[in-house]
Amino acid sequence: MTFCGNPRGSRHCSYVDEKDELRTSSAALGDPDAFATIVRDNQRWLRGYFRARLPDWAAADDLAQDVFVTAILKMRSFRGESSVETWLLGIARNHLRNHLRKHREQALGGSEEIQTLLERSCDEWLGEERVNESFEALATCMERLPDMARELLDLRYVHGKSVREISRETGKGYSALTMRFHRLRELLAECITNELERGKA
Amino acid sequence: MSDGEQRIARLIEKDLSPGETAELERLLEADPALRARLGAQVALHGMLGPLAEDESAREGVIRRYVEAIRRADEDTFEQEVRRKLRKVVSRRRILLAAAAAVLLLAAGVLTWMRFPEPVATVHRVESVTGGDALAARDTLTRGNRLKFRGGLVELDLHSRGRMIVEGPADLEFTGPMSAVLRKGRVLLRVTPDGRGFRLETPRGTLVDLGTEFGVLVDERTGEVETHVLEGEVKAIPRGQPQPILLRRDEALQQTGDHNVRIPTARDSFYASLPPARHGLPAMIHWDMEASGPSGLPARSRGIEEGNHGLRFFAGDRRISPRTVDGPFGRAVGFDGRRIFAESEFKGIDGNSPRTVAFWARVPSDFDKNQGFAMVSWGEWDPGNPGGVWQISINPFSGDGPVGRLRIGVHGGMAVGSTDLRDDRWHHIAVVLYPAENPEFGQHVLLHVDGQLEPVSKRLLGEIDTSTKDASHGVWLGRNINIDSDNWFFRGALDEVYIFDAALSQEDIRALMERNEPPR
Repeated sequence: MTFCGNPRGSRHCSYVDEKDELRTSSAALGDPDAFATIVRDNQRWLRGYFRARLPDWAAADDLAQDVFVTAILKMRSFRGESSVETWLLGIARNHLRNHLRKHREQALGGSEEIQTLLERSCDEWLGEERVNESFEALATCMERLPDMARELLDLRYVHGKSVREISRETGKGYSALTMRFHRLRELLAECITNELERGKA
Repeated sequence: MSDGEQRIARLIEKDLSPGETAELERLLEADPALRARLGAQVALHGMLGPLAEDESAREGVIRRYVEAIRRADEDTFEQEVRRKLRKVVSRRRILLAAAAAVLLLAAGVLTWMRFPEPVATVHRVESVTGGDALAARDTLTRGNRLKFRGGLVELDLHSRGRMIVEGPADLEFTGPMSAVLRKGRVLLRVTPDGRGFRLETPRGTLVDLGTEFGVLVDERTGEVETHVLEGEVKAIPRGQPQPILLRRDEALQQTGDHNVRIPTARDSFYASLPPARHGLPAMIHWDMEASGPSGLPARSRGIEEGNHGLRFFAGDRRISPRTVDGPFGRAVGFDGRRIFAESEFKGIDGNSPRTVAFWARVPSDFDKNQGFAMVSWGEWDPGNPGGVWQISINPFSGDGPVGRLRIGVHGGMAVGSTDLRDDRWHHIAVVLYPAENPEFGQHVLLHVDGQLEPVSKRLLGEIDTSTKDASHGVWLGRNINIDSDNWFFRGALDEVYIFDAALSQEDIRALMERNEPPR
């Protein structure tokens, strides 16, 4: 997949690679297999986008599904002026806004102000064009973690247990575990940044 | 770690008070570096789940999305057909209108048949037998019927809540907000989106009013029991116009036309399934092959170093155990009068997940004074009811059928269904895991001969085994209750394993069939 522009710079790309073009044009003609490929290529970062902003991960995954459904219904209006990712992200932002309008209490940030700050902070961290690359970098970084840390992250992120549940199961203190997860995410974030810098070099 | 970072960590866990949130907001406004760290933390929090999930989970999500897209596309197509048909109707009037209606109906039925609405997703499957093959991530649609003889299935009702179904069960989904329970036990935990969920039973309808409740339908007796654990439920008995409102800690028993309020059995339903095992569990194994007075060595993995071998006693005197033929090599016989074994290994502490597996042979002339206890550990203290636990043969008819597998803590027990008093070897495995909510719900699985055992009597409170200050280690063949008259077990034991994790049915069968622990 091709991404364009400076990772921290321009948000709006006007380039779509040939594979993307073929896929989107086939999908626009109603070829479900072509759209299935678009789903396969983009579901991970889209779910990540919603999960970062909503504590209810089932609702987050449902919203990602809604984005694809909206996308297929609007496929014929996709003019290829931006990348598929940017187009999907635009739809995702609308869905998130509508969802939070109805379910403000479900926002990770709680208050509107902190939610706005959170949105801004997320955008500032990597820039939206590098979402897929950052997933590749994260996969590399995860491999470098010790087994115990990976198992802990599995409990939280694969099995979807809350920190309180993990605390009960492992007998480790809730506060200590919360900070442990914080440090692990910090470690991974640094590693991703380094990986992406290295890739750029 | 700075104050701001600590608040970010807690924000992610939704654990900040409004005051603390406002303070974090102020810190973020003032500190761009902290804002960047928030961005990284939150982004990672979102990315880790989709990245770390396994391939089958990922494929399940993709399948679900593609199905939804196909459905949406199909609906658009159908709308287009409707529009065109309307034009035809205006021209050809009544005759063609009828044909169009038939076509529309057929299109609707075809769409419904080809793309039925998904109403639930299988989240976990535990030891299910006697039904259609079920796997995690399977989607259930309107009209799907879940039938199985034994085991547990946890269903995700998408945003509407969760359901744990215990076999033998027969459950049919009639829509996203309704199901028919013809047989089995169901624990339903409903979210605000699922408020109003209707469960039909042979005795009427139950309507959720924002709650957690358990329902038991006994096909044999036609009896239906509804136990409200949280919130409220409206019960509408069949043929009776007046609904019955049930609140927290209220239960209703329906037999024939009789509706009787009964005490809530808070331990009657599985409120959670055991946690999946990660990596290799620590374990200790006594193979029960012949040994001398010095004891029988233990094989262990991941357990603190020490002499964990078994020493055998007759009363206070050290003895060599009496061995008999076992399922794998030799086994050890216990006389029910004074012989027992002890290890320096203290057992698994607290409410940590654990599995105890072994072979047992119980005599057909079993005496009720010789049922306690095959395996036990903890420190007996009448003031701490959950501090000990033991695996026995149930000797008390008041607690459930005699001769069945019994898991006991002081003041509580769960009793299985298979009569073990037949002079034959049976493979026993007991899986215990922490209760999600210690106030209610079962949290122990009993396996006999590789099959999940229906539990005939349940009254098991929270287990918090005390091993740190225990005056003895694991006992085999001796009652943990030192105040009891029923002191020793009569029968034979072989291949005793203790693991610090909840083993799956597959793991347990490997032990039973090949004497092979997880590796």
